[in-house]
Amino acid sequence: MRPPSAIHHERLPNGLTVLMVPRPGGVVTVDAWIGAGSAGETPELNGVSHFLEHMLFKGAGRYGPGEIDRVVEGVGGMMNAGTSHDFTHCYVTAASENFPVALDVIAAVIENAALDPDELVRERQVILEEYARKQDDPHGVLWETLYDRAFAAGPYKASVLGVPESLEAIGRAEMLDYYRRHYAPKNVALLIVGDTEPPRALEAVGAALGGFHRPFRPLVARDGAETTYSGPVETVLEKDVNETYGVMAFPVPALKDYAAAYALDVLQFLLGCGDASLLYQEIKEKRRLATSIQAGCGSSRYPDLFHVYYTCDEAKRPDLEKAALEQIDRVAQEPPAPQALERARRLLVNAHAFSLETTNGESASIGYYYTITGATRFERDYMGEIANVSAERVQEQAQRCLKPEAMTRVAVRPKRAGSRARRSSA
Amino acid sequence: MIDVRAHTLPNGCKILLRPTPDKAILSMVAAVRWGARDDPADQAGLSHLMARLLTKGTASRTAFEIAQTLESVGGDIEAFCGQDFLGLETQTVETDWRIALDVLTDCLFHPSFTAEEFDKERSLIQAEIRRAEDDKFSFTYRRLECLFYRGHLYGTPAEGEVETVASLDHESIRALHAAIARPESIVLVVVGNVPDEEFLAAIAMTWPAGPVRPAGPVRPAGSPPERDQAVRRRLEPEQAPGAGRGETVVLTKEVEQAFVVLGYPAERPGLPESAALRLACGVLGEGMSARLFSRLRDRDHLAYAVGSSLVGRELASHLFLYIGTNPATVEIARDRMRREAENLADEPPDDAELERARQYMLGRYLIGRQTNAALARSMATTEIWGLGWEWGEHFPERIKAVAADQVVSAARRYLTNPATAVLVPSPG
Repeated sequence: MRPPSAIHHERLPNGLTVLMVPRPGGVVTVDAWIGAGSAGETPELNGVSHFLEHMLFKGAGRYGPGEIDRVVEGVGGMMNAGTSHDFTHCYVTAASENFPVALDVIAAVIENAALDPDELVRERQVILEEYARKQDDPHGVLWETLYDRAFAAGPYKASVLGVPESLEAIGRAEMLDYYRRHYAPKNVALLIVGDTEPPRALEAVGAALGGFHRPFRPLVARDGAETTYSGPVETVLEKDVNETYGVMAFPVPALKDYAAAYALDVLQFLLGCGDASLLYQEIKEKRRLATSIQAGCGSSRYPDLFHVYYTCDEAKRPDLEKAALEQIDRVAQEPPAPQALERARRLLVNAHAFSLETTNGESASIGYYYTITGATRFERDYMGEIANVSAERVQEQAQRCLKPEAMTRVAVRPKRAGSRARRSSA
Repeated sequence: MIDVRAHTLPNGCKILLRPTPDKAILSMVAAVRWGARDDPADQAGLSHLMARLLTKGTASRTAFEIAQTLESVGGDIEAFCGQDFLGLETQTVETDWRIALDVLTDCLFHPSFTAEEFDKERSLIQAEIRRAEDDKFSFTYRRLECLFYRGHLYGTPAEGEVETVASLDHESIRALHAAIARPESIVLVVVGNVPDEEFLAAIAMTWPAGPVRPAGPVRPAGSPPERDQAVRRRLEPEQAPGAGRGETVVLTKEVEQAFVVLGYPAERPGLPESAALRLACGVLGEGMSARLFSRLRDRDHLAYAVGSSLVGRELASHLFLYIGTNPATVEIARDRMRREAENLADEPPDDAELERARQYMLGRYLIGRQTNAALARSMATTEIWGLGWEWGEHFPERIKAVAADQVVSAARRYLTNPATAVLVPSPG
């Protein structure tokens, strides 16, 4: 696989980081990554990062409500935003000749969001609907319950979406204060990936955001030391679903130790990514205990979770969990076979390379890891480092992290008294 | 000028090679001119199950070996089956093209269809259907499609229903494969860099010589009108699409949020009004400044999710509108959405609104075609539809050529009397 392009890494005098990757293709993504996620919220303001993200495009600077949508879509641009535990990001992707429009909108949004009081009241209803929708979705319930139960305390226990009580209590004053504290040049990385020339792009960024000054004053001071886990713990919820959706999760350290993080990513692929992975073969193919199974690993600023996610017939859940633990134990007991290790490494390297195929994908990859680590090295070295992860390093992480005595299990199962969704015609 | 090399081999297979000089990713799509719509009425889901079994073992490889061979070079292979065609798709790095082609060929022409894999895959598909019904959108949309296309060849979901899949038999799978896995009914699209001569030589060496048989159950591969006639012969008059228009199916589930989907007929790709209707769909519900989003969500706060989409199908397309709303406002939301569709003809978009929709679509088009996989799928689809691989390349011109009065007339003709599926919380 070809190595990824070099990043043009710049910093404006006001502290704003600018990361540029020029590439052909006629498309450009302008993507602002802000270190503002649910991990930095107080319980009273739980959900404010995500609520604020919804408000960003509802008017900013010279753009009135609804105008950003019209302007961006009017030039064929696509905008979107996302919020998680550690970050908020918002981006515009457009044909490269519309780079000035994309930059102007993103600059307005990060410096001068209007947070219009009427829009805020209306958007709160939209978020409460999103909350309702999440309760209807077995995955939504599963992941929210997992993070709540797995952590006894710490930055990731609370939900990104917030809860109705906190959402009702967030008014304009609270949101504006949160915005001004976090949307500050030193806490923002601006990504420009696509068909642009870095010197000219940088000049445009300087013109748009050179006068942006605001101190970064995080609402909550954290060092990650406050994380404690509850495991071993098991929670089973009943819902109107046809299959069981379950997860088994284990504590993993924060993404500070790069070597450990690379090895954990390989472990994740070895165990549960791809049809030839250990869990897929043993649990789904050979023993037919799961109808789907995969592994994943959180690479985050603070200690997070490694998980095995599955769907199954409820009657098979106990055997499935037992068999999954046997596979996990095997990896902890003996280093992976060369063929299995090579498969995991190659698949992971290519998955990363393929994720960079779009401008959005590349800016998300660089932006995410920059926000977590404060540097571009982890992401740009990724493919080379993964190729060097040894069997011993993978085994070491399995021993260190995947301990049954620290495991959290959550399952969303069908209701006991036959509950298939009913159909009727009218 | 787009560099695509089209080859029709002596065995009848059509191969399209599209290099991407600045990228190392290789996407291949092998599309077989046969889809779920061709399943016998009492064997719904047969083609889908057959397609899924292609990667589950061949004469020389087990399911594990298929996965391991590709994954050990960081690639993958996946089967698909839609209403109009089925096939296989691979993704690898360009230097591994031989491995990808070898596995693809093996799966396409030499599947073993063992009893064990048949049994396993059948129950996995049933589980997938059950899970799809756990998702509000797929649950409601699946039922909408069945209602809208009732009596039509598209009247059953491609993967079948839990009950129809249960009754599928192993022997029918073998028979179907023998009938359709023939080079002359396959289009192979390759997006990425391969050495043309060597690639074609490898195919000539490993793919069956043909045409194997002239007729059989395979759909004729000729021009769209010829194929149309052939298909029409199989359609009874009452099988026109849209039999369920004007009707409503009400679904219940323990949910906090209601969901409504409206289905309208749409001109199929290639016909004169299809671009105008595509634009009507954009004005109505594509993007955050489209009517549905800006009015029903941003102005009236009736929804979290609302929008529209046009689903192209070879025989009969459809356009659908959807809204996720509070159960208390489900009737209002449904009426308002329906009125927005009907009002499009009476409240035509002005130049600015039309231009917004046009630009939005052109932007999405450009952004959506950034990956080799997306290009390969698009080329295979329009090639199978008989429109030629270039069809997708000319999307911008078609959209730019549509005038406001054409949008109005397309809306007047199509956007009335929808089929409706409503999901509401179950009582008690």
